[in-house]
Amino acid sequence: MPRTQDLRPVPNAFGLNRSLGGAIGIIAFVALLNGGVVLAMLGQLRAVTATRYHSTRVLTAVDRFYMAMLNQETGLRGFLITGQDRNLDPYREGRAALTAATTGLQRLLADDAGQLGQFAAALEAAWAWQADVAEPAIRHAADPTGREAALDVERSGTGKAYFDTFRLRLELIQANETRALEADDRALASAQRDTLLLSLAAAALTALICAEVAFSINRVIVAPLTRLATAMTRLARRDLDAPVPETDRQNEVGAMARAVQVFKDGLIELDRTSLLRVTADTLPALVGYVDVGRRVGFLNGEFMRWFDLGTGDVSAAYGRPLSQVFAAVPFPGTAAGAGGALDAAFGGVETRFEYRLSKRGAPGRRRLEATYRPHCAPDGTVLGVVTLLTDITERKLLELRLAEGARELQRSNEELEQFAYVASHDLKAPLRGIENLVGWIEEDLEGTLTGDTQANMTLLKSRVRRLESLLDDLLAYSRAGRVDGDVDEVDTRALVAELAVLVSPPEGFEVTGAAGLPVLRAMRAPLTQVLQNLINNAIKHHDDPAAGHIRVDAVPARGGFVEFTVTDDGPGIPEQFRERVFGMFQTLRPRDEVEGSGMGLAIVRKLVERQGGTVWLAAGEGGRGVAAHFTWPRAARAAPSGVNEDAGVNEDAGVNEDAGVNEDEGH
Amino acid sequence: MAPTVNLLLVDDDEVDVQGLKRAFAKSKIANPITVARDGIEALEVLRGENGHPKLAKPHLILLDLNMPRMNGIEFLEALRADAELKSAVVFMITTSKAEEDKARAYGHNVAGYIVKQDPAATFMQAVSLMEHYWKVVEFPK
Repeated sequence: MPRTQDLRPVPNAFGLNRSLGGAIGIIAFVALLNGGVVLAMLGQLRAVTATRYHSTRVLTAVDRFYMAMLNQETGLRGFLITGQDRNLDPYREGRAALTAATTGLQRLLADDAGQLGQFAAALEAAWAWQADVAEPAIRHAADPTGREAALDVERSGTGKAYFDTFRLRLELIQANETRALEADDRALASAQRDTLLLSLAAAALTALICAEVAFSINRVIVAPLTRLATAMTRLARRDLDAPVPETDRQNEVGAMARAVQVFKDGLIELDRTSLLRVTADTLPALVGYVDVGRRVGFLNGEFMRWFDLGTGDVSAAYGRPLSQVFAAVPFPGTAAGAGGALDAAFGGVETRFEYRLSKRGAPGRRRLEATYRPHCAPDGTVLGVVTLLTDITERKLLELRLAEGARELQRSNEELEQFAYVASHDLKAPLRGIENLVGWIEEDLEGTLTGDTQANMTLLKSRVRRLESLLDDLLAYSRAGRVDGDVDEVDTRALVAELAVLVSPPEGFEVTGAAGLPVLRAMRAPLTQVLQNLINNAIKHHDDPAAGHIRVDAVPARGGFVEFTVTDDGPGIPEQFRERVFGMFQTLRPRDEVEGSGMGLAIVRKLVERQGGTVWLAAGEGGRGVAAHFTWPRAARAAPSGVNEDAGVNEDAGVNEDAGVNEDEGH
Repeated sequence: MAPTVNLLLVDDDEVDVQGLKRAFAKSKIANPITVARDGIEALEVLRGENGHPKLAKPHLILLDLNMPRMNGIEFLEALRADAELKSAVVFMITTSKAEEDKARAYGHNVAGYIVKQDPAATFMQAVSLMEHYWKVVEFPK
């Protein structure tokens, strides 16, 4: 499954465009700010320059005013000394210059009431000098007798007073303007410094921001893109182990990386798909997929070996209508009329059926087992049908043969059991007759039998009984485990204690169960019979019954089994006979010495093996006796298959109770 | 004194017949014993057909299970279906210990089911039971 990537567009709040725009905006803002500051500085500079110019013009005009007054005074003195009129020219020129200077100054100082006031006072003093000193002196001097009077006017000192007055005023105006000039100079210097500092600061800030932006671009864009490019190059070389970096970035690079992840998942999926195709092609079965439009979704290579698809490559059939691809021989389960299997599968039901089909170029029809399984979306909609057709011709043949073999085996087993049963049962009836007849003959000849005849009669009866016992045990063997009864909780310690009494051992003979004997979930009857047969056997063959001892132990064994051991201290069984005694009718001593059919251990083995256990003999303890081991399931399975009662067999047999055969059969 | 009970022994085994007869003789019982070899012959005896004189009532039937032509169970079915004979008293004497046979026999209302185990002893016990039985029990007419 491809990982589901979040491919939604990156929200602008975190996008590269927003952050880059922000950085550029900050730079622009800083530049604008810088420009504004420089403009403001320029304005300030111009203003300062204008006032400086004004002050300079005022000073020049004041100088001209003063020079005009000096020229008048010089002209006046020269005239008064010489009396020549031409020496009065500087005076006249000075008067005109004064008027011009006055007009200029009045215009320049029009906006400054303080300076204008000072100037007005200076002008008043100048005009007063002209009216009170210069003009009277000139009038007196015009008259040659008046020379002395004119000189007196000039010497009176009034002129000096007027001159001092306007000179003082003018000096005040000059001082004011000079102060203004100095202030302007300071302001100009400060403005120049501020401008420089601000420009430097703006430049530094801009450089800092540019550096940060460059670093960020490298960190957020260039480096991730480089890593992504490396990964994409590896992917392009079909190195699908290459991890896709940067998928968790919340910007356009992250979106790009997530898209690459999707492509990578797609590549992996594609890779798997082709692997699946290769795998499907190696299957010895016809594997296909039919989509909901009844088109071929997939066919594996096996189809080429069965159908003539009219193409050299099975993938050429993909996407084409089923009826068109399988034009010559219809697709199994689609033939008109009978072919409802595919439709049933498209109805959402898994469909199984058997199909007969000829293999391309091979004679005869083969049996196919078909399974059509609907492929459903999570909401249950059928998207297509997976078709699987397996050639089961050989398997069917094998199954047939196997079933035949099993039937044969069962029949032969049944016949054998039937034979054992019928033989033991039917042979008993005439035997009983013989026994009766022998009894009656003996009864009728009471008192007349002598010697050998009597001994032979006794032997005859003993052989009849032996034959009867053999038949009984054969019957018991044939029936052993056929009916085992119900599974029940069996306390084996209590069971051994019961058996110790039931088998009625001779005086002095001890049968003990170990404390560790478990409680099993088992069929009571067969387990009882096994233990009883083993205990009976041990007692029967003991060479010193008056001091005999049998111990029953149990230990847990593998596979949920318990291993029981019945150990006696009798004469023991030589190792080479320990397997032989489990055979039918096997005895180790003549029956004339120890009566026995030799079926006891055979029955034990049959019962134990029927429970899935094993039984074997080992040497007893201290070089004497036999240890009979057998395993028994701790918890019995359901009733074994042996419950099939052989119908038709009449169970009217007199079974020897000593064989311990379970008699409580439930019909 | 009740009338003498007639015994009908239905068994195909000559030895078993002999054994029972000997047991009766040993017990000094002199009741008349009629022997039929199978169910069909037994029915003929009871009905007086096919040349057999009809067996007089009261009678007691000792029946084996396995016989040629008509076995014990088939005989019981025929007997209980016969209006005149359906009340007859029947003891099973057989070698079969099968529960199924016992159940089927009692299903046809037999008075007892005796298994021939150890022939000599069983016959003597069975004969002694029969003797007490017909001395105490009232038979249907």
